[in-house]
Amino acid sequence: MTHLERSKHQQYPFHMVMPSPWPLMVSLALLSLTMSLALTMHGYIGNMNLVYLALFVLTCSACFWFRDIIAEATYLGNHTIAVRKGINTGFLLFVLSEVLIFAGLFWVYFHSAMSPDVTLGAVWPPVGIEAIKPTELPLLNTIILLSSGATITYSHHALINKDRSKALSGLLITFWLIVIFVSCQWIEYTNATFTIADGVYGSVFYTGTGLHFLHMVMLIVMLGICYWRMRNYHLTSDHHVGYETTVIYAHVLDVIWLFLYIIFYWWATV
Amino acid sequence: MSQIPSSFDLSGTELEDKTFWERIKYHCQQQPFVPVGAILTSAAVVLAAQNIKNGNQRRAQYYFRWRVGLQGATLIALVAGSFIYGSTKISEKSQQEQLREKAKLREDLWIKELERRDAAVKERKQRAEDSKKRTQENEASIKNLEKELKDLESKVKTSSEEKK
Repeated sequence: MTHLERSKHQQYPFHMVMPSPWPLMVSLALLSLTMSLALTMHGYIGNMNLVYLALFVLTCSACFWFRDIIAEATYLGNHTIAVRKGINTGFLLFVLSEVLIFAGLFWVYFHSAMSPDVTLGAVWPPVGIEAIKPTELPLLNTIILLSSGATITYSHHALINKDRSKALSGLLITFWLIVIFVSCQWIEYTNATFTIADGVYGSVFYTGTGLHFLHMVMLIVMLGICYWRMRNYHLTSDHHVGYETTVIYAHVLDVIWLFLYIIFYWWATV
Repeated sequence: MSQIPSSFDLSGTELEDKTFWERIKYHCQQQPFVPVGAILTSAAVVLAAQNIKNGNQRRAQYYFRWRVGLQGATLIALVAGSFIYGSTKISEKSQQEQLREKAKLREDLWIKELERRDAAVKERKQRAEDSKKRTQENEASIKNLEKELKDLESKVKTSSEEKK
């Protein structure tokens, strides 16, 4: 091979990314989202317009960024095994940070529950708070989430065994199960006898389960994108990083829900 | 003397009155399968994630199955455990009913305590009377002895005068 010819080939397995506006756009959108949320929550801004604007910019930038990534992965072939490994590691670090956020929220819960203040009646749940019964809607939610874990595993099994229709149907069922979960959670929140403003119990309860709720909403989006990509033949039996990360995300959120259910709903109140 | 019954007497006897940490500890000891199952479920997810990272999809699929199975088992242990040990039955009773039961229990305790005190007071009175009686007896015997002593003294006097 002459030097001239060698210079036409890439000698390494990595993906040298092109200059892109999306990282900067996403950073700015996230900054304005954080700022506007904090200022709105503390009453410095009287309306939600800035929050909606930041959310809109964030959604648009993320969509364009992911469009670029899908093009690089699916059509340009930039995602070699080494690149995929890097993306998976990056996603696992993200999941680890999520787990640590929830560990922090569990810490908050334990901190507040283990020595309730006299103003709460020195009991947990506080006097006057009627905790949500764990054997009603939350149990149904847990079963729905467990079923979604089973169907996503079924879909993953079908995908790696090259069974397109089963992989698609498993993914679709999972998508709708998560939609049902989120709806049930919404019903639970709107019918609860306490709000996020009702003392420390309301705060820690809605922060813990509410953050999980937001993650579930995100999971719906991720599953929808996976379904759309699978239908459009973007995924193959051994190259489906987006799908794999979604599956891991779903499983980790399921396990976090198990802990939330045991601690927040069941053992802390009964 | 026994203590005055108070609202704090019943704490710790009922699940509702236990502190948060005691309740968690109690549940973990009563249903050890639940925390063990939760930890094993997390371990399955960690192993699956590791295999996904290393590109080993079949192994990951295997651990995903373990994850779902273990979580199902944990859930069954949780629900079955609480049905067996009846902690849900307690919560099914209305708050009002529970409060009424507790009030009745406290009332009974109060009555028992008052009876105990009454008995103690009676016993003390009895003891005081007994000791009073005993003192009277003692006083009488002392008087007798004094009389005897005087008699003896007068006898000694008369005998010594006779000698003279």
